[in-house]
Amino acid sequence: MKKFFLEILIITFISIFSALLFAILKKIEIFPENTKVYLFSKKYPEIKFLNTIELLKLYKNGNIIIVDARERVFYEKGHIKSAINIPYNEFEIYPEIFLNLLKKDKDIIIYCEGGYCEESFIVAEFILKYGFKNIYVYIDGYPEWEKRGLPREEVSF
Amino acid sequence: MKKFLSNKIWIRILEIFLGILFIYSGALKIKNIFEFSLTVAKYGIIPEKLINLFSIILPFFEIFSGFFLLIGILIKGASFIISFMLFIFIIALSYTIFKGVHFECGCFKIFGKEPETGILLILRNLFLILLSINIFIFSKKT
Repeated sequence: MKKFFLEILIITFISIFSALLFAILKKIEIFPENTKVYLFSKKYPEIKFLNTIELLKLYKNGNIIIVDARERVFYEKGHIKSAINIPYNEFEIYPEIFLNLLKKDKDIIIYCEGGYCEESFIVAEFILKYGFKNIYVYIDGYPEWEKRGLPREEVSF
Repeated sequence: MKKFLSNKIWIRILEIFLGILFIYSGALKIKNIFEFSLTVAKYGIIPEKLINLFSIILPFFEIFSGFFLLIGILIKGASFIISFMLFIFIIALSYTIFKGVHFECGCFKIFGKEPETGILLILRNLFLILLSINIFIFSKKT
């Protein structure tokens, strides 16, 4: 029994030591201040972020295009007022249709379902390929916008 | 049956198979460490502050447990850790089914494609746990 616990201890020690060494060598923050922003900025270094307060400022000024990257059914249930829908799963199939909705001289703000959703980043990466530069991801996502009672609308049939 | 499960050649085959599998799985996670961290976050089980710590340490547990199985030392400890990790993965996967969400599992690619969370993955992990327990019970090496 003693031998068994010793084996586990040895493997645990080697694993943790190597992991910490790896983190130091690769300069990875183990306890970043904002884990979500840190991880997304590492995975998508070319994309900028906005939180709710920052988006609200731009929203009030106008001259922006807000893009809802969620699937159509979620967009129809409710979205940020004046947002257009570019579903992440349809953009690649019909890019020209969606690109006509965007303008290069305006800031483009993309959002999805909040949490760790990646749909907005998928759309942002596609749009970047077509020469659009002022692209931001609203990192708090739709649930936060809705929770704060900010302007929303639904699609009515 | 017991005779077969405790057969030395069978045990060695399992050790090599699981060893290679876990080294491969851990190495893939380290290669795409931020992608793996984001996947861990999507499971919604680990507190946000600990996501990076967990996702940096876990692949090294996989690599070293796999390595010791492969070279045939610390077998009991390595197979126990692998069984324990697989058990945790099963809980995490069950939780995603309970929540009704599915995304790429963050485990390892098969035929170049990473499988999505779901019942099939739970079955796969159950199968791997059985192999690992087989090693743990019948391997006489330390």
